[in-house]
Amino acid sequence: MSFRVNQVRHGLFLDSVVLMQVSRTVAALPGVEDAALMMGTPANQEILENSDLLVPDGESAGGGDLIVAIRAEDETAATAAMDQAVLLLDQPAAVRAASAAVQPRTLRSALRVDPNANLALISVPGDFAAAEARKALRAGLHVMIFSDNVSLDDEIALKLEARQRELLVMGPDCGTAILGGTPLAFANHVPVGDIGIIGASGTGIQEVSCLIAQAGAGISHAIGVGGRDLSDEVGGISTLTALEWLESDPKTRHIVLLSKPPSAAVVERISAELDHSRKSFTVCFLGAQNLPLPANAVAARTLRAAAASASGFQEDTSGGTGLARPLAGDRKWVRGFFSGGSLAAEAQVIFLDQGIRVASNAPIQGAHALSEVTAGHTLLDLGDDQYTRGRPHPMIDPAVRDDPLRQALHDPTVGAVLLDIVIGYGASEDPAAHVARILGHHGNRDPVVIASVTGTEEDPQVLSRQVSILDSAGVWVRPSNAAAAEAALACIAA
Amino acid sequence: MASPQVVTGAGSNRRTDAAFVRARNGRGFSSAQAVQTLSAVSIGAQAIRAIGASSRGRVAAVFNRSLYLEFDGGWCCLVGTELGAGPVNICVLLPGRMDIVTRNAPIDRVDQGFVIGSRLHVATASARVWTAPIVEWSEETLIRGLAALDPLCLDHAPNAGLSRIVWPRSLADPASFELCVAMPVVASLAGWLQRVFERGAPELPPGSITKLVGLGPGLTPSGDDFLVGMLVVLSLAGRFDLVAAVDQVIRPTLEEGTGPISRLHLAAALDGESSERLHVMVNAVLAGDHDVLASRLVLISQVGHCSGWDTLAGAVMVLRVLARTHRSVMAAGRDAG
Repeated sequence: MSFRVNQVRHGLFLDSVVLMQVSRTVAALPGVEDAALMMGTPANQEILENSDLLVPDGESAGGGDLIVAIRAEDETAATAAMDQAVLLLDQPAAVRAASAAVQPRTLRSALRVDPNANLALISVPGDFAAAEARKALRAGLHVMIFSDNVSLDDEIALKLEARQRELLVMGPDCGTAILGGTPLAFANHVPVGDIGIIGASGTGIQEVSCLIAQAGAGISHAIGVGGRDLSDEVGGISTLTALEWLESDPKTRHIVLLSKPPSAAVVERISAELDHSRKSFTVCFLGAQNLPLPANAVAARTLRAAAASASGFQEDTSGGTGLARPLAGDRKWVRGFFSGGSLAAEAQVIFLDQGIRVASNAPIQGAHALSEVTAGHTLLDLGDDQYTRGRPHPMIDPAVRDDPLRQALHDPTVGAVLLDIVIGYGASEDPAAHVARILGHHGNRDPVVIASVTGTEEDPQVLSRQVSILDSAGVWVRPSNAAAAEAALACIAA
Repeated sequence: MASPQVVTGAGSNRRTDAAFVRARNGRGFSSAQAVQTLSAVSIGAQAIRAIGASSRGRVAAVFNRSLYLEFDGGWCCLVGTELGAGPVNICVLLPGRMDIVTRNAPIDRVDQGFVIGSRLHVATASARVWTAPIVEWSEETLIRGLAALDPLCLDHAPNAGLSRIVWPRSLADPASFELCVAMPVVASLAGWLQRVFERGAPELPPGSITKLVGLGPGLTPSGDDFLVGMLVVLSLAGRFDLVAAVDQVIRPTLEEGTGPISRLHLAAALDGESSERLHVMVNAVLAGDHDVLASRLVLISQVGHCSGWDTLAGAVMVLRVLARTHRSVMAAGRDAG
């Protein structure tokens, strides 16, 4: 029997984003079935009533009051969740006031605090990012632009200016970098080694660097360049700068290049650069075929193949075929819900290479756009702008995956659900536990839920702990994203 | 077709301006006691009315970059300039965060402005009085603007709030309760607008419009935001008779139906104004200025969790009907004016 509890906070006005975040945090607490924080208007009281969240305490609220409404599996869980909600509601102002005293608010004041800094990480709304990046370049700093929504013209101008100043611009929309062993933004704790990575994709860099780490090798530098760097318009300005740097870095032996397929002209330009290098390369342009590469470079179709090529580990492409179990009824489709765009793309490569038709909201060459199909295998990139506008990226807030995951679990045509769990700095504190809560008592029933965890033991969330949580929830955990995609196909074929 | 000049109702009946603010200064408190002075860059009509309502007030709500202030029932918002001007806003150049001020801190009117909690002096005397920008447009530019806007919004509109009524998802996501409540209401409002635009005869909106009041998540509930967007475009189209009709139906529900911050924004919208961000967005659509739509949409999407989107959705719902029935609207607008 569920237990419901309401608290009315009279005249407490909080930013909508804070309300949403607290609501999600409380809803994810153990034993909580549903939670909402809403202004106590009559219309909202009706919504809470229909959601089985309203009790008489909440009915006293007025339009200017905040109702905190929680439904949990028992009184203990409901009370604990309410305590946590109250703590979160009362916390932000004090925490913000304390932190504001010690944080520089401008680039100039940050440089006064640390005059030796040589890199600025820009994370401001896109309209302002170019101006901040320009200031940083003119202060002699390399720039990592985490912000998206920077115009193409601004990107080109910034990269040309950086090139003139012998500086590097990583981004825009650069989510991952590891420089000299220091992870920046979304990145994992990987050992320092002799493999350099230059990537136009954040989760691609994460997957490859983690697989390299698991193989016992390490990373010298992983340099993100932004998703448009290898476009015709930008022409790979930052990629070429990064190649020159890694070429002259004595600690880098081998270099991995990761991207979506560039145009033929850009490939030709990159190939010419590689041809002049004394180092060896692995080139993974996800979905590209028949790349014209020089003798010192090998092509890799998948992120796993790129990691194997760079570190020398033996790639297992069996997909765990022997472990796949037959599915009941008419379950024939795979539903993939990815937080990483490159991981969604890699899964599409696996499907296409086995001759399997697949659709995605971010289709690679050969795959279908989601709008073109009504049934079949679908692999969604939930980190795409259409899902993240106005809400955190699913690597930060995995809740964006909840509703489609629940739908897939109840769809009698779905045979396998494919998930990526990306951990590391900046990512959700416990994404596996979140998935486990959504799965509830699904266990080993159909559809089969298959996942991989991109991460390492040294990450804050701890790889083995995440695997163990998923395993306990009945999820079939595979050692890589590619292996998970192969396992999903093996289940469908079994 | 010639581009008609559309004149908003905003500002037409204002008796207040910066001079009025100066004339209503309070007594007994010297601004010299304040720790820090912030000079207001702009001030909106609702804000002028609010601070003119009383010599004392209080801080009603504290956010990182804004404060809501209450003067004897009149509300306004002190914001950093980066959040943009608007009818309820007093825009200042903020050196830091607003949350150094505590909720319920007292406010005293002084020469040249007011003092918050004896720490912050806000000088309003030289503030520019903000009024909503207007733009020239035609049926052709409006249709072009909507055609350019819709693909952007289909891709980016959030699942939360009401914007998915105007830009439905291609994937079958489960609808929230507020969406289920609002969908038939919005459909009947679109039907009402179509009728009154085509016939030109005044008619009250369907009573179900009151279901939008106070509906949904957020500091300003989504339904209120949707109404704000609707009202702003009706004013821009010169249909003050329809604004008055909406006012007549929803006003009795506002006191109990929603909170004071939402009432403040609705009051401004009934006067034809909302945030500058919404106005420049709507103006870009009206003028078919497709080059700036994406960057303005970014600014809209940064308003609250989904408030900006909800407001835009209300505006676009009316703009679409307007595009379908433009000629009769202009004729009726002239008659109503």
